[in-house]
Amino acid sequence: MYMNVYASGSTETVSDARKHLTGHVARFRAEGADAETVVFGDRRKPEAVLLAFETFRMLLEAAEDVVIAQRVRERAAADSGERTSLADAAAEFGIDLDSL
Amino acid sequence: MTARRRRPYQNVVLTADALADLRQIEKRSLDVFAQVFRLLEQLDNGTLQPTRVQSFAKTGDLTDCGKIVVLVDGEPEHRIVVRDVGGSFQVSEVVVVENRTDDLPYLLAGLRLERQGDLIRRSDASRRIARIRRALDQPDET
Repeated sequence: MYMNVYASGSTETVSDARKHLTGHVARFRAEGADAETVVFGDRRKPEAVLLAFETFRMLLEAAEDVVIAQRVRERAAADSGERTSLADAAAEFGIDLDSL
Repeated sequence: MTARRRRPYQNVVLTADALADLRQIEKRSLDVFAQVFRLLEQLDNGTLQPTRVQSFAKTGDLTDCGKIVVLVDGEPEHRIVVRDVGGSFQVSEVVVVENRTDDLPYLLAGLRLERQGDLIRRSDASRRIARIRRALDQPDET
């Protein structure tokens, strides 16, 4: 997975980012995750980023998967080995799976 | 990642931790609780396929892991985390994921720390905020 997160390396000023906001959004709308992100900040110091929502969603997915992977490993390390079938779990909770 | 129909409701098994997750969810929201069982029933009969969890070098090979999104109106999102064990599914975790936008700093804090004990799961906002602050106060270990 490749995302064009910070392709140019250039940083806009806050006022430039504000001035070009409509254009940036139009580009995000047109190009989606392929759109170059906009890094901006006071005196061109990288402080904030504008990015396509699709890119943001992909970043969330990636971050979530990393966290899930960590959780899976932790739980596997402490696993008691005890397993309960879905049928037995439903019975324990008083759920009729056929009626769901 | 495929589920083969063998005996009804025997193709999905839950770990002890996942059962404990369900007990907590039952206390919090019966709607979410019921939806989790609906999805597990679909997983068992092969009509639902989990989304594969992406593997990253840092987290190792988890190609047998998948997640199922649990969406219920008015409730925080949940994830069912499963492992494919030879055509059957082992549910390892059922966790709450709150508003995705709000989750970003929380998830990123976890990435900075590389590992975290209980990062996704939290039952209230104060615990969550405290963890973020604690995480951000610690030096970057990556």
